[in-house]
Amino acid sequence: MSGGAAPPLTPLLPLPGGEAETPRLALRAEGVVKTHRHKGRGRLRVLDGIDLHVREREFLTLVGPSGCGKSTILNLLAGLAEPDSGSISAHGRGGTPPSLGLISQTDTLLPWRTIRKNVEIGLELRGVGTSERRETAERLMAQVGLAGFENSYPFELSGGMRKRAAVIRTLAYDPDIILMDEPFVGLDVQTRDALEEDILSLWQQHRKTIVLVTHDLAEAITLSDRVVLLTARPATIKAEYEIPLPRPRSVVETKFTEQFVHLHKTIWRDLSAEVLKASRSVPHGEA
Amino acid sequence: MVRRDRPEALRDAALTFAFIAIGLAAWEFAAARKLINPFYTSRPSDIGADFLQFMLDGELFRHLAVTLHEAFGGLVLGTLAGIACGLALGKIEWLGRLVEPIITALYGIPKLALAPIFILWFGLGLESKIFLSALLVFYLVFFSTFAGIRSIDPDITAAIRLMGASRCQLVTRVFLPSCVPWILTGIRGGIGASLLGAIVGEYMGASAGLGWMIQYATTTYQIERVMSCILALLLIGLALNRSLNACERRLLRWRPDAS
Repeated sequence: MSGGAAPPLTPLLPLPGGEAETPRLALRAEGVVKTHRHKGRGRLRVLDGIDLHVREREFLTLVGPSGCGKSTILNLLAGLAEPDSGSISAHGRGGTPPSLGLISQTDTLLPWRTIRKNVEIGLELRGVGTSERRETAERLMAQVGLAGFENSYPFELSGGMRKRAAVIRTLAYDPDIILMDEPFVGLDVQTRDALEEDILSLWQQHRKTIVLVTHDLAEAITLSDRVVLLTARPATIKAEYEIPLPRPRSVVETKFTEQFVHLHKTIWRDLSAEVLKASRSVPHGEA
Repeated sequence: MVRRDRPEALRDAALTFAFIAIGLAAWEFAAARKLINPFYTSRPSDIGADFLQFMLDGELFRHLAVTLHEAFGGLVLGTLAGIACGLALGKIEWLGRLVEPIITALYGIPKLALAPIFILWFGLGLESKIFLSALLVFYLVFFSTFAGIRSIDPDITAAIRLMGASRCQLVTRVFLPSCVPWILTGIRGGIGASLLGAIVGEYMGASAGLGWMIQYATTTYQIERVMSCILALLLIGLALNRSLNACERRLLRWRPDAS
């Protein structure tokens, strides 16, 4: 692989309002450029023309070397920041502005609320009645093995349990699109596997549009329908890979299939070239 | 809060009481032997007798009620104003930049120096003392609320906002609850400050209240009465702090160190 010369594959472009089979777009980024202010170094170009189309009900994963601007893309998609140029649009069900959910690296459960009240908060903000909220929260908590911890506070739970709570907190209010920013960072391997398993089965049941950011390639392949590989900073899209692994998948079993190994090898070759490039350019900003 | 074993806590309490008893006995002895002049310092037995008398004739409660009314008024007013200002200046950036330096600069004024002018502005009644107390409490609660607002995790705010929370919902669901520990710290200092404001206000001009009583008793050399008033203030301060501790244990159950 000869570094940055590889042109990005043209993404699939379903025409809006096209044939019935074409999946509708959930998120669209066109030519997005973003620079960060950097101490004493002027402006640092983080994203350099990102075109991204996320289909409805698709599980899409962004992978790339650390510090390449993956989280920046997610923040832009979430509307927490504005691009310097280019546009971002999101489409909800029936043309309404979509509701979003963000599961971030850091723990954003409200520490003063019990787990159940945390899971309920999205519904509470929408004015859903107490009994309905409670029912939803308890059903989801049971699905991820949190039954019995309804009245515990976040500090009383392990890191993995808190993460599970954060995931179902987002599912509870049924957003159109869920954005996940390296949600499994800092968890041990077993917990990570168990959580990935949870995500797989929750996705199977709820069929949400999910955009996941990770630097763990195996995780990306295991979970998603499509993997988008970013270059080292300033990030552009280097390549996209459809992941045709059959669903429902199992976190552990899937990894032993020939198809998985093949995909992993292919993507890894491209990724490692970028990782090498990233390690040569000095400043280490966000992941 | 450190959880101790019961017998150990009991032993500590016994030691504390023993220590106080020795101190009082030494005072009594020194006064009896004229090592110190009881005219100026009184002695525990006289103070005890006076305190009992003070209580039995109902005077204590009459003056205490006045002082507590002023102090509580100031505590409530100052706390509400402090929370509101801390929240507004902490969250509305231009307002914070504009007003916070002014508030901080005014903080440099020794606030008790304003007592005479408060009497002039608000009269000899309860109001002048309530406002003086409120001013003292305000600064304590304001600064801690302001610091609390600044320390909120922006990721939490972003996540809740993304869930579709309105500005008002953010205030009630995120900003206020996350400031509760900070506000309680402000109130803890505020309890003492509110009593101080009330007492000093009464020194300046009043017709009732423990501060007035202390002032009056001092000028008429009733030292045991002065000491009785101080004892009453001590007990009140103790009781208020205890109740705040109980509140804190309830409100901060969600914190690992508050159980």
